[in-house]
Amino acid sequence: MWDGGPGEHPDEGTIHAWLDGALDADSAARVEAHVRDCAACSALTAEARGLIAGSSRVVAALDDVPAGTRPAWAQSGVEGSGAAPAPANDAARADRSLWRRLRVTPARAAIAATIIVAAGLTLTHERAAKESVVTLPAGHSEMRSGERSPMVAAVPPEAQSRKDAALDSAVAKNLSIAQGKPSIEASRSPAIPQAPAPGAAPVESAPVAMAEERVAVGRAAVQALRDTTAPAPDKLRVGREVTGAVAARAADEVAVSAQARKEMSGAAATPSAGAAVAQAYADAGARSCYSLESTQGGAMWGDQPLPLIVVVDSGPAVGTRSATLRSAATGTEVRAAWVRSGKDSVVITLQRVGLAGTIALGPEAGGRAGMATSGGIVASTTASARADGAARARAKSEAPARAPSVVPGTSAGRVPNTAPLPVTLHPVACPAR
Amino acid sequence: MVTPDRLSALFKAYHVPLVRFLTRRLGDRDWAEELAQETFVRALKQDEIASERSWLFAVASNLVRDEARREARQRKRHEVMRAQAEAESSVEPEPTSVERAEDRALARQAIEMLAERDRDALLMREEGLGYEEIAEALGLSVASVGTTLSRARRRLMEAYESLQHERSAERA
Repeated sequence: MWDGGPGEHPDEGTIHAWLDGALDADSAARVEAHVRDCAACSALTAEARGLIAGSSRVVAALDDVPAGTRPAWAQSGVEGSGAAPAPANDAARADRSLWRRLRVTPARAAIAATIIVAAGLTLTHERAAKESVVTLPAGHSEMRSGERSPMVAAVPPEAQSRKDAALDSAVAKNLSIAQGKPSIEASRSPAIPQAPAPGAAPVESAPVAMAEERVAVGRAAVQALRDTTAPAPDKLRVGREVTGAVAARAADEVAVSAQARKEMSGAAATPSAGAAVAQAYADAGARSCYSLESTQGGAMWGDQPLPLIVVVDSGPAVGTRSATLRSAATGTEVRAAWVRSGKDSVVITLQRVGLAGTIALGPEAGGRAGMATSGGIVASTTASARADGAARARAKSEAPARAPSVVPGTSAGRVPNTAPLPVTLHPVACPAR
Repeated sequence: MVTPDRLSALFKAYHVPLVRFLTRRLGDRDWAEELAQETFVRALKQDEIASERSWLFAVASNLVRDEARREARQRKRHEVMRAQAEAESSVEPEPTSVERAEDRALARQAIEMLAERDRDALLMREEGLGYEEIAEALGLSVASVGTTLSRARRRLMEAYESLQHERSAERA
């Protein structure tokens, strides 16, 4: 670094460093004093200021960049050759897929669809919550509406409080009428469904899956903001405007997912089974039954082995209906709320004291696909699940199977938070009442 | 290993600047986002990251280099396509204002004319990285960052002005 000796002039790099504020205080003072008294260096400084400002302007001009192009060095054949990037043109576009030309990648389309479904689902869920009936089997008599599951700790408090109030109120009211022994905590976090690609291949490792999931969540948040609020010409600029709510939400969901995945437990494979009854979807308002299975081998949902038979009581085709989830293996039943949105997504929500669980399912397409997670302290054998935002961000992430830490049938213990568990829902014939 | 919480914080803090850096570097936003994503995935695999921002930008920069090598195999095909495109592009209306599109094209050309290290240093500086971070990311001494940046800025402006003159001459 320039020491400011007599007769010496700072070089251009030092002047740039000075203007960039990268010099220590002593060096900066020496350069400043020299520049003040040296006409040549003063001129050099003025030029450096111009170069800094000019180069910033040129670099900023790069920001107005469309997607789906390739840089000059990739197109011209010589890196750094100075060749201009090929402008948009028919030939270039002919090489791209329709998705590319529309600037809609499959991933973006999936994210956008998820966001749309999520928005509709959230609205529907909030409205429907006022009428929701969530009942539990006998033996769970505590009403601890103030208790918050660890699974939902990261949900934004403002949005959460609205849901809490509506659901707590509805649940308390209905339980007091329908049961003598309420023991449920209102759903605090209706998850947004993500329909994973059927048979999505497991990722190479859990950490990578987690990272991709998180990245995808962030991207979804960014994309949501872009697609809904951004002026079209400069979406990149919008990216800088991603602020608090969206970014925090994404990060929160990431945290929840990470925690859930960390504590995942699972077991053995469950083959897909059950006779499909397509008509069940057409008669959405009638009592209908489904088999909830996992695309992942040996799946457990909380401490319940899949598949679960889901019996949905008759009710509005869109909105909230009561449902019973029965483990085919253990015969244990739990009651839950079945909420179908106008977008044809479904969220099954279950919460007990210290438990939170949601199964989020995408629109029907020869079956429904989605995610389930769960967690909390269990007072007796039960199962619950919750799908968080991170789960919907990347369907292909699958948790490694591990031994469950709670043995079904135990009277007390901790049901680990599960990682987003890919599940599918297929209609089956209803069992006799 | 970088914890998920830490990764979330990293994502929150650096995703936008990293995508911007990569977009400026690559000229394609989708591609930039893909590489940014890959950068964060790699971060998760790290045992420890001492200087997070410089590490992320260094990885991103290396990914760009890797991509460049991979893309080299396809250059010939792109060249043919580009030639076809240029032949046909004269009849296609500009999607945005002419001046804006021209500015962007000139800026892209000018930035591509820089040496890779100069370009990376300049783009990192434009993202707010300090001299120490740039030095760490690019394997330079801190003392040489000022020289690198001054050279990058000068050459960028010279290239840009030269291209502007050429354009003016073509029109005249």
